[in-house]
Amino acid sequence: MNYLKPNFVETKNNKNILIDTAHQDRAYKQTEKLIKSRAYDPEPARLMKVRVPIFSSIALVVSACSHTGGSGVNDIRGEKAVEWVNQTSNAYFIDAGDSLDVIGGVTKGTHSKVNNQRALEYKIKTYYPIAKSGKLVAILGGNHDGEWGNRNKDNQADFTKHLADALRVPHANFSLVLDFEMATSDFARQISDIVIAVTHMSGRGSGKAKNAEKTEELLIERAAQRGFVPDVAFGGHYHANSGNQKEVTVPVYARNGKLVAMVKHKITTISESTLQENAHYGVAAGYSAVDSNVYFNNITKVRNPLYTQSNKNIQPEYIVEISRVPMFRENSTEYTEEAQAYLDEYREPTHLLEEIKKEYGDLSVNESMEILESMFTGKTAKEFLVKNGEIEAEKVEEKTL
Amino acid sequence: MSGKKNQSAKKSQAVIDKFYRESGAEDNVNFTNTVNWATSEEVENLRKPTNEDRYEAISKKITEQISDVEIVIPKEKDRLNLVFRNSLNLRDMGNPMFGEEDKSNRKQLISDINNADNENNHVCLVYAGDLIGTEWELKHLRNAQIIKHPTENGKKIAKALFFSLNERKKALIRDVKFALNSGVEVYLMNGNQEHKANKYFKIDILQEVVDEINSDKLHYIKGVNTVINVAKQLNNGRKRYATIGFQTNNSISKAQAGQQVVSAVKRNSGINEGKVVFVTNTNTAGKKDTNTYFVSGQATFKNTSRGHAPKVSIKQYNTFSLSIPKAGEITVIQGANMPQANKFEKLVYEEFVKTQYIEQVIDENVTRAIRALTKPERFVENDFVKTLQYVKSRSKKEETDSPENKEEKEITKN
Repeated sequence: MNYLKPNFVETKNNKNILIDTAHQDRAYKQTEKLIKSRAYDPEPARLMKVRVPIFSSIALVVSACSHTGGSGVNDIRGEKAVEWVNQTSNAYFIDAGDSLDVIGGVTKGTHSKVNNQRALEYKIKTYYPIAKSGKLVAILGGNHDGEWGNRNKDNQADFTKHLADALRVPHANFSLVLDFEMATSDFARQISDIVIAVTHMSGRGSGKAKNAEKTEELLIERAAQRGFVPDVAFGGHYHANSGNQKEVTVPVYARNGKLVAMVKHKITTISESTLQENAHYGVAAGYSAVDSNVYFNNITKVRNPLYTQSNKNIQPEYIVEISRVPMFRENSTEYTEEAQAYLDEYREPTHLLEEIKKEYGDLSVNESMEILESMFTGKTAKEFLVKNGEIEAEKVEEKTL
Repeated sequence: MSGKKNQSAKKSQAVIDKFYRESGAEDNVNFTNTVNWATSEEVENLRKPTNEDRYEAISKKITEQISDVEIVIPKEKDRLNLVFRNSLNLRDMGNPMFGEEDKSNRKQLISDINNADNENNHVCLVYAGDLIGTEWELKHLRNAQIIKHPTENGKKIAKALFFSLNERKKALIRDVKFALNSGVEVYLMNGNQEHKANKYFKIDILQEVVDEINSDKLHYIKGVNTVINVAKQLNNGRKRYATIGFQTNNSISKAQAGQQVVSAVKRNSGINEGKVVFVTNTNTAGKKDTNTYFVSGQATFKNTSRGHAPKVSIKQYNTFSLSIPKAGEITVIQGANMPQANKFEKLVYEEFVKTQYIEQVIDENVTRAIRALTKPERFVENDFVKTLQYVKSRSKKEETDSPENKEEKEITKN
């Protein structure tokens, strides 16, 4: 494919989260006729950019296979995880599919009794706070709750699209490639970018280690289609809670096209855990006891200790460091000490709102107007009022005493 | 033919005497613990054993899985940081330690210890097997490369690139001493390479290292598939325990990776009953099973089967931070230390959020006043009057300053 410049568009909830429309549009145009019949899906990976203000590290929660409505699901943990993200300043949340169990496909009515509509409404209500605060980055389709093509053939009804539309967040059918732009003063912009690839995955599980490898293969390919090599790759579907480390070699070219280095690049793959304990198909596939938990991943870039001037053609100068921390204690809905400590460190300063209300809440309109004017330099109060459509200048004069 | 046989026998004897018995070494250590490598003279002087001798040899066989070594987290520390150092392959040529020649491996070790070390953490460095390398066997000596270097006197001498077991032991002692000088606790464990040395020469290399260094901070965990107790000392004098397991003898000769390695380890070493299990000296790294972490090593390449191009091994998946919140429960953070907030960033973020809140509150004040205009029964009189006066005063000022008024003024003046 020829290189196509991405077209990033701001999302409605958070202007720092941008979504690429160019590749999706081109892929669909090329296969327009086929797509209209819904029989084939080109499975384009959605490219997004997330601008992270101020912080040099992020706490990323990738929730896969929460199976709301299914049997054995620990929904309280799901709610508390969302609450944790909402209260943590540098936290982001991605739903990697199968967030709804959905009776009718793989899930039989004998295993799950929850009404699909009610489950969807519950999920909208649960996710609403983080959607409103702009921390919910995207929702992906899974095989239980997605629609498309050969991969998600279980239900043929896109519940995740409804969920995403209700919350006004981006939706991706299969795969997502995220470019996190970290705003740090230490690193140049391109060095501080962290590339994360997410997908739901498909197929039968064949061992936890194998699941992580399959996830890795797919996501490296998807990210490469968009011109990126991922730093971290997240997958779901297998309920594995396993991971893999892989080292690849990335060529580095100078501007004139000369190959100047072949640099090592480490890719960390994580096949995420689930919130559904004792799933019947997990037992059937021969998995060991499923440990359902939610993890947050503290991801940042640090200087590579192995880098020296003599090996700069082989070793990268900066590497991605990822710390994976469990959020809940064993057999409990309490946060772990580590998760609680992290939350306390990075807690959203909502206490400031009360202080500011005390300081500025009792001001007269005159004084408020002055402060407002100072904030909107060059604008008069009247312009502000008229521009916002609150009043019209003539009507004010008509209503004089 | 017989002449050649005699020459071959003489050569082997010379090799055994000169290099393999390390007669050139300072200690003049005699490693002959098996009949195969003993000289004729030594064999002639051997005596018959007794049953007690046999019992003593049998009792050294390890059958229990629980180690008598216990790692204790002091009460002033919160967490245990484990830094693994395995697959060193000391003095090997085929698959040497990564970054040994430019000392970047040492730098990595210092970085690992420094990252793991802070006032809240108890740091332990675990030498988890495969330390002494594989190229100390006689067959490697026979195939050793001969290099020629000029001496200071200008006389050329030849050297065989073969490093004996004794020299590898010395290199290990140097490495361990360096680690001990950093102030961390050090634990030694056998792997497949040490097990081979034990089998061939009936010696315990790591025990000799421990005896020679003789430090309180140096411990020896015997066994290759073992469970140890980790204790957190509490303020009331009691201890809270959890278990961790180690599986270090993973002789995987083929280039296996991923699920094959997991199955191979289960076949070779069996099941480990630790709450969290660390598997070392394999071709892969990552969390491959429930609470099972495959740790990366220091070797340059993965184990590769004959005829295949060697692949570079995974690095920097060897530090783990553990805590024991409750008896029998263990929380593992894989990767580096428990992440800590950057205080400067927090301050800047607070200012950023403060500005947003001020805008929000001011906006609410103004909106409240404006809504009062449209709902007279609810408005506050003072706000309404002030709003109107303010808006009027601004609008009047604009009228007087407008170009039309300026023209009128000029006309009136004129």
